[in-house]
Amino acid sequence: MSDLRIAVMVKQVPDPNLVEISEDGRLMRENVPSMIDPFGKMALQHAITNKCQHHVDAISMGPMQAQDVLRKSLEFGADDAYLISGREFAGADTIATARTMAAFLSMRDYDLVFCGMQATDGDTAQVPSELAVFLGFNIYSYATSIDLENMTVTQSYERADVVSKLSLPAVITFMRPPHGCVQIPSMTDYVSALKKEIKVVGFADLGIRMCDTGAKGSRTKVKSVSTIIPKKKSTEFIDGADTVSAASAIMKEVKG
Amino acid sequence: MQRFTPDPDSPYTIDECKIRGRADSVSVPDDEEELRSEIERCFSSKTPVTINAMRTGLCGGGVPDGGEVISLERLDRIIGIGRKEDGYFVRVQPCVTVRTLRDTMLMKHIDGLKDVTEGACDSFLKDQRKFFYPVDPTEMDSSIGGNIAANSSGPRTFKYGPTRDWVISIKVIFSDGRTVRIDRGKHFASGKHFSADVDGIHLEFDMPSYDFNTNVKNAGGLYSKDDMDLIDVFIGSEGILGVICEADVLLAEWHPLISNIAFMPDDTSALSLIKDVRHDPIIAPEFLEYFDSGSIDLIRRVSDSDPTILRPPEERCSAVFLDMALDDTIADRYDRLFDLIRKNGGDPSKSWAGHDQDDRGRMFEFRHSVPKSIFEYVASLKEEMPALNKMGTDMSVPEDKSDEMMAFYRETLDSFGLEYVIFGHLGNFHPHVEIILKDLEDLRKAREAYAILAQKAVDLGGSPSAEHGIGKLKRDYIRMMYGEKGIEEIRSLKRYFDPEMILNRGDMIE
Ligand SMILES: Cc1cc2nc3c(=O)[nH]c(=O)nc-3n(C[C@H](O)[C@H](O)[C@H](O)COP(=O)(O)OP(=O)(O)OC[C@H]3O[C@@H](n4cnc5c(N)ncnc54)[C@H](O)[C@@H]3O)c2cc1C
Repeated sequence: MSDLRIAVMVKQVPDPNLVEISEDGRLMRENVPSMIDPFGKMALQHAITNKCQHHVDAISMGPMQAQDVLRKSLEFGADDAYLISGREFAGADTIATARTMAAFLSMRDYDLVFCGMQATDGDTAQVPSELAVFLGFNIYSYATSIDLENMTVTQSYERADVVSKLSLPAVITFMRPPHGCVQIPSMTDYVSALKKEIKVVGFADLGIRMCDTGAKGSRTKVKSVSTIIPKKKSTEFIDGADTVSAASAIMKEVKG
Repeated sequence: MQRFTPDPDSPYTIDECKIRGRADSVSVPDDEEELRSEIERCFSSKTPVTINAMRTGLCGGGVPDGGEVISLERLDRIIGIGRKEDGYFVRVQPCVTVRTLRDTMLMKHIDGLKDVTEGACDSFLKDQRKFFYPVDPTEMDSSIGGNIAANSSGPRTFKYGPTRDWVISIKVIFSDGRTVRIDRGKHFASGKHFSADVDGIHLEFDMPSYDFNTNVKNAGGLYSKDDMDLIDVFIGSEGILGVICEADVLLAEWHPLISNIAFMPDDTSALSLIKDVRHDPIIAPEFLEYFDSGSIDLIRRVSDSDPTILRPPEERCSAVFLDMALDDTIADRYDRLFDLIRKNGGDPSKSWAGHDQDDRGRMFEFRHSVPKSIFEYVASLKEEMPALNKMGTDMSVPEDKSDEMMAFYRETLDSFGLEYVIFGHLGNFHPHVEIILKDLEDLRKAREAYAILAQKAVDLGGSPSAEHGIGKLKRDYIRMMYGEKGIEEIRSLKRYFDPEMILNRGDMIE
């Protein structure tokens, strides 16, 4: 496939090694150096490694400081960068975030939207699927590699890797960096990034309503955060080749 | 104060050159007073004392040959901040590490520090500028006291000079326990003769008659210049004249840097790029290092087993590392750099650039993996062959002799059939040649080759020890520089400050 338009969603997150959690469960981001969210960076690396003649945009939603991660994305070789930023977007939960970003993406005619499988601050993993729903795109989650020449994507299903034919347009979430990928910007990409501007997109540019975004567009509110210590559970795998006998095995298990 | 008898494999009887010494006891003073009384006790009982700081030394300076080890590890506090002209200085205990000092100052985490001059801490906090300690002896876990004792330098010496240039005051404990504070700019020699009253103590002595070579990076023997400052007698004295128990070091104003690694097709093209870049006024590199293709092969092997280390290109190549100031002129610097890389056969699109902490940190780990993996390799062979030690050169020559020396390294080591890699500070014409020893026969050959190389460096007007010092490992080489007479003069100066000859016995002179 030639000349695809790829959007890579990158988020600015506080360095997980340095961030602390307050007593009320809030991430204390103040004065903590931020970085490009590690899974988002993997998505970017997949886009750059497969770039060829395709066009790659890096997109972030966040405060003006999030320009740093976009600048970084440009240094890694993204063609253009957009920051969705404004007071109206503050306090957005996953659905309001996805709706806002979808409004922007739908204006720009992308074939592919690359995301990290989850961001390391919120850890919800909800935004990519919600994006796919709002955009009406297919979704391929937990991808480990992508081949844009043969249009295939490999997803990790815990016990098996599944290779699928890629059907466009699609959202893909990545959980691993590409093999042998570039870890440091090349000098030439670095220099071309110097000459590029990060375009800032505001509320008025998106044509959405106040009740679709920010705290007002959110359906959830974080009350508190706590660490859950998982109870030890044993998992039994049932052979699913014969669905009927698998189903009856499950029923037997459930009924006791 | 803790005192104990060290085990045969105690960390207190070895440093990073991996020579194992022996000691009857180790003491770890909690403060300066305990340090002083321990030194006095050793003086009265004529017990030899070896000073240990972070033991990252590479020439056996801190390796004891009997007697007592005094470890300074608990004297590791940053004491306070002072103001000097437009900048600042920091007062430290000797075992503050370079890393701690750098991070504390850059992040301005100065809670609890004292004002060494009135209002200095407050003014430091409010100052919009950032400051850092610019001497970087590669090994960030080495101590400021150790750095002063060795007059350490490193890749940033290319721009900032060695440790000596940043030390403005020291407090020294002599072997009999007397203690003096020596401030820079207060006491000078007349010719080579000192006669000074310092802190109520009259000091009168002669410096060695040789003229210390400052045309090249040099850590070979005691510094001696006409009309020199008293403080410089102790900087680089490797602890043989006294123990540094406090120091004031200047800070430099920080500015952002961008690190670059240019991969070049072979060693010749990398060396040629270095020549082009070194004095280029547009690029104005602040750091310039060379890694031959053997070093890059080594990093590739390291990255096979350690995925956190960046992987170099798969095709055989050499590399040039350089840092540039990240300012408004950066695009012009790159235009010029790209021209020079291309002119020498390289490809900027296959080279790396990065300015944030993450990228620069990873590039630092990339280059540090060469010496580090060699240290680990030697340490792993040591069990089988305890007599083995690391054999790396640390020689510098004047600029116009750099090519001749580089060719001589290869010729000599090839003629001995030794395996080696060449990397390091070519900004100051001072590469490290690490000989990769496989057995004791290699060690014998390497020692022979080393002496030939050191003599060549001296003949070319250079130093057999540019930055690591002499310690116990390189005593023969200062004989090459100063002859018997020079060594006798060093000995009589030592006897003046340390009449029982107890301090760091066996270092620099026998
Ligand atoms: C991987 C690696 C890379 C290195 N690269 C460089 C480099 O680029 N440039 C460079 O210059 N060095 C380099 N070194 C060598 C080493 O880091 C320096 O020599 C450093 O100054 C030693 O500091 P230390 O605290 O470890 O001292 P130690 O090793 O503990 O002691 C060094 C010597 O100083 C004496 N000493 C220590 N503290 C005092 C004191 N307070 N008063 C009196 N005498 C004292 C000791 O007795 C000993 O003789 C490197 C070492 C390693 C392991």
